[in-house]
Amino acid sequence: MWKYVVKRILLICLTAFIVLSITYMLLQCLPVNEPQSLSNKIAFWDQQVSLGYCWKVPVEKYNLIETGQIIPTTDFYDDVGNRYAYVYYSIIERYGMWIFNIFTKWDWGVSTQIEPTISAMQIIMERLPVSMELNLISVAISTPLGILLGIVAALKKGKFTDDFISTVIMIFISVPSFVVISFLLIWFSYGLGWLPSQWPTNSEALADPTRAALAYIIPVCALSFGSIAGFARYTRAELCEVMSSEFLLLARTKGLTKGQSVVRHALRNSMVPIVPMIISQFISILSGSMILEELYNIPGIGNMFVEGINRRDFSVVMVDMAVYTLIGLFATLIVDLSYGVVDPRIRMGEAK
Amino acid sequence: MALFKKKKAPEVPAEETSNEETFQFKQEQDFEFVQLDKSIHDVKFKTKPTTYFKDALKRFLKSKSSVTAAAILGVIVLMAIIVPVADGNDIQRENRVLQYLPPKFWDIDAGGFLDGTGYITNAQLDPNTHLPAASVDSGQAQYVEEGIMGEIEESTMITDGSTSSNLAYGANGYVTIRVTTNGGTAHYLSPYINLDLTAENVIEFNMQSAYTEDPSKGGTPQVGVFFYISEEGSYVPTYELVPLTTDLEDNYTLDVTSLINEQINDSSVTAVQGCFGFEVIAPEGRLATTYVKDFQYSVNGTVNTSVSWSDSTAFLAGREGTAWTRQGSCQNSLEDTELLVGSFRYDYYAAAFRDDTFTFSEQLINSYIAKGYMTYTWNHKAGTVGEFALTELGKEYCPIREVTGEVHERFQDIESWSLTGVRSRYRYMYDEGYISTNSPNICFLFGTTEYGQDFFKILFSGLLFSLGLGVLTSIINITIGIVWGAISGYFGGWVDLLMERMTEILGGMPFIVLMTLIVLLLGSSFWTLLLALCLTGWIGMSATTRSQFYRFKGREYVLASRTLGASDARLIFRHILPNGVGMMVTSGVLMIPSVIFSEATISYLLPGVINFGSSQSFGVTLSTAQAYINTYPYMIISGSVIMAIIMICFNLFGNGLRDAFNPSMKGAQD
Repeated sequence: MWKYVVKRILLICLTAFIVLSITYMLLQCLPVNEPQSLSNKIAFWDQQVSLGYCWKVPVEKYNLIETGQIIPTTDFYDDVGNRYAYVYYSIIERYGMWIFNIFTKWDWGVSTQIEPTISAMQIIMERLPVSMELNLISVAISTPLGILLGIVAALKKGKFTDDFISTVIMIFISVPSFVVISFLLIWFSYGLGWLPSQWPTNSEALADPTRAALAYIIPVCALSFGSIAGFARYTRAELCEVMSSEFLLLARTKGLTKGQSVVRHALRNSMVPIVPMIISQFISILSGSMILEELYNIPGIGNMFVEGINRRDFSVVMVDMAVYTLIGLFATLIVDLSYGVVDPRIRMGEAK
Repeated sequence: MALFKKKKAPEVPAEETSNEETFQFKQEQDFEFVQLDKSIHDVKFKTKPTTYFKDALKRFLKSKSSVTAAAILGVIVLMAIIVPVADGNDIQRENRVLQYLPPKFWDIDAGGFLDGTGYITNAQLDPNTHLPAASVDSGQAQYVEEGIMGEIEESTMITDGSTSSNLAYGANGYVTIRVTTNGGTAHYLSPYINLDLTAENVIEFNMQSAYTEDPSKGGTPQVGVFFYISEEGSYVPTYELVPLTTDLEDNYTLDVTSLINEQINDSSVTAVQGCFGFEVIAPEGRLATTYVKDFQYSVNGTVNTSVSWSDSTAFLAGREGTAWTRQGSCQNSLEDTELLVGSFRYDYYAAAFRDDTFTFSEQLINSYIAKGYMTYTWNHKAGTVGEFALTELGKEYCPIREVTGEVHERFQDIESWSLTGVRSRYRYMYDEGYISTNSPNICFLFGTTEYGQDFFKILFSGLLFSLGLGVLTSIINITIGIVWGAISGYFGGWVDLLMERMTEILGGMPFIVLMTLIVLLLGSSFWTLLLALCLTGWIGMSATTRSQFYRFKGREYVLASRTLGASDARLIFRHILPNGVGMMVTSGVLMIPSVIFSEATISYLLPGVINFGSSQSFGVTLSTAQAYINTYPYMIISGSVIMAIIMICFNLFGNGLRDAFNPSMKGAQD
């Protein structure tokens, strides 16, 4: 078992490393979007030099730029007329330095656009809690609700309740989240004016805590609807299958009431595929929902990723990517392992 | 074929009854052996042979919800193909006349339900005409008379602060005199007057509450009314009419003559020159404000209009009386302006398609004459009307309905003539090709956009784009997925290991990053988007195919075929792959909505990245409509509803297909 886990973790590290390396090189093919203000620009390039990604063209070599022998990545004058010219090393050299910086200094580079000259790692760490908080709430709401709905539907299989719940589940699974968010915004924010249409900023939240609390409703609803429907559908399908199995009939024949047989026998068995699902939901807590954060202006990491790509702030995108990739890979591992915990019959990595 | 058949004749052959075997049948003497006198051979099936697909179809048709979903999907797909061709409304050019028309389904009065009308509450009215007021900035009314249905319910509304529309149409209210520096003094001064001290000078005014910005800090502002003698351009507060006070009454009537006489105490002075003024003194370190409602100065009972004003709003807007001036750290604004507002039902379509006055260029007139709409003989005399007549055709189509005059223009050496006249807007737009029907009853089912384009057509054009993308992506992904999965699964071993690692790495890259990278590197077009969607889209398909191959490659029938000398290709394509044909069809169908969804998500998230120029995708259309969620929600509603319907139908249809193709479900529904 432990051998298997270690093997898997090593494989995860390898895959993540390759994925990040490819992304880094691809992103480096795109032109860099340097900070706007002059002081930030100089600070950014000097930092790039100190990290070893590029070199500053010395004054005596400026004639080489004019003759075209050196093609600078950036070339600008400051207010007093000092000239600054920087040349990037080749992508392979930069990649090497990047790896070196991460492994020796844990330096993932600085943001160029979102919060210029602030370390990308620091920005992520500031934003991660917001995404996590929202997703934690929504998982805490959607898990019991979804399972409950699924159980009700399965127990009333073929009756009106089941049809109704199944239809609602079908609709919620099909309707994209941005449609749900749009309708919630139209009705409750713009129409009735009950809920805020934007995530409040820190100062707004301090000034009006009630409204800040109300601001949770739309994001949590938007995040929960999909997972409630997902949980309900799986629970219903699993429970229906277990309900028709012979051991349940045996349990009833032994004299158990319907409630006893459902709770003690059917539910336990139907939880086998659902527990890993809950676990994977918990892990996706970290990643946040890009579309929701973008539409509702929530300062989480999903929003930051989108912003980073739109404004081409690649250090931030790289850190965010690393977070997403690792979460995704570890999620599969934990889900695989959880099968063995939930159902002792399953042994992961067991030799055939 | 039945071995026995019911005997027609009751008698039994004698030799059979004697047999011991037939003894058991004695009680059932009604039976006889059919084949006793016939040779046994294969008989052709009377029933029609069924194939895998026919069987699946039969089972699919039994699921009502799937069939309904398939039918709705068929309609939507057909619409996506037909609407962009059949709908002649222009969605390329701008036509702001038709801007933001709400959805209209029927040309009847449905009380505001999808009939192109809406209920406008509290639209600002012009107090003179009692019609919706023209915007101060553009000079054009947002709501025109032609669109108003029924009566306007008028009411007055009190608003705070001063805006340009308050100044233009508001009434009453208070002029505020605000000290703008901490502890400063503000003066608000009337124009100069000569005050005759022998006459009876009376001022009446209403001044209300003086307050400081932060009462908790203590201190009260002081306000007063003065008569300022002008001496060499400076204002000296000479005569206190109301001494500086915080104790304000509402209305004041003051005898100015006696008050001034009392103070100068010099009977030789019979006249003074100067101005009236309000003074506000803010307490130390604070700001202060007071309100003045009106000011009336009368000499011997006659109101001096050069100084007096009665309507604060009109006065501050310069519509009444003459302007007072500010001195010191002072600011004026309005408080509690009364606005006349009206609520009414408004027919947006009638307003958009009304007749208006328009200047037709000579070129346009000539084109109408060439089209046979009208005849016109030019007088070439500005302001006059030549001979004008509409032809039979023109009565139907000609945009000019009436000519009101010829217009002459000269620019340097170029002379030009044009006609002003009454224009029928819908005929004009039809003639210019903006709309497809020559009728004022045209219905835009999903309303129009900011650019006056038919949103219905835009939406379905975008849907065609996205559906095309979805179908192509799905075909390519399934092909790649099957080939990749088949090779990986069939050969196994190190080939499988290598191919699996490659898919793992590709699958590990977040889709949105891959998509963005490709679009940023190669530009945004249908084909780059297709490439981005196909780069990782096949992984799921290949995984399923691979597991299928692992399951079937060891089966006996495969072994048998191999023993007979079948090639690898034959084993793969003839023996193993057909097992999964149902799964392939199902995942192919389910991939289409997921592609539409991905495309829409990307367009939503990265509006700056995805851009197809003039052609629009469904996702781009939706993300554009998102910007109007607050102001014109009908666009995002119709788009979202169509999106939701497509998703639900595809899912139901896909589920139906999956069940139909699943052999283990055979007979389950019967």
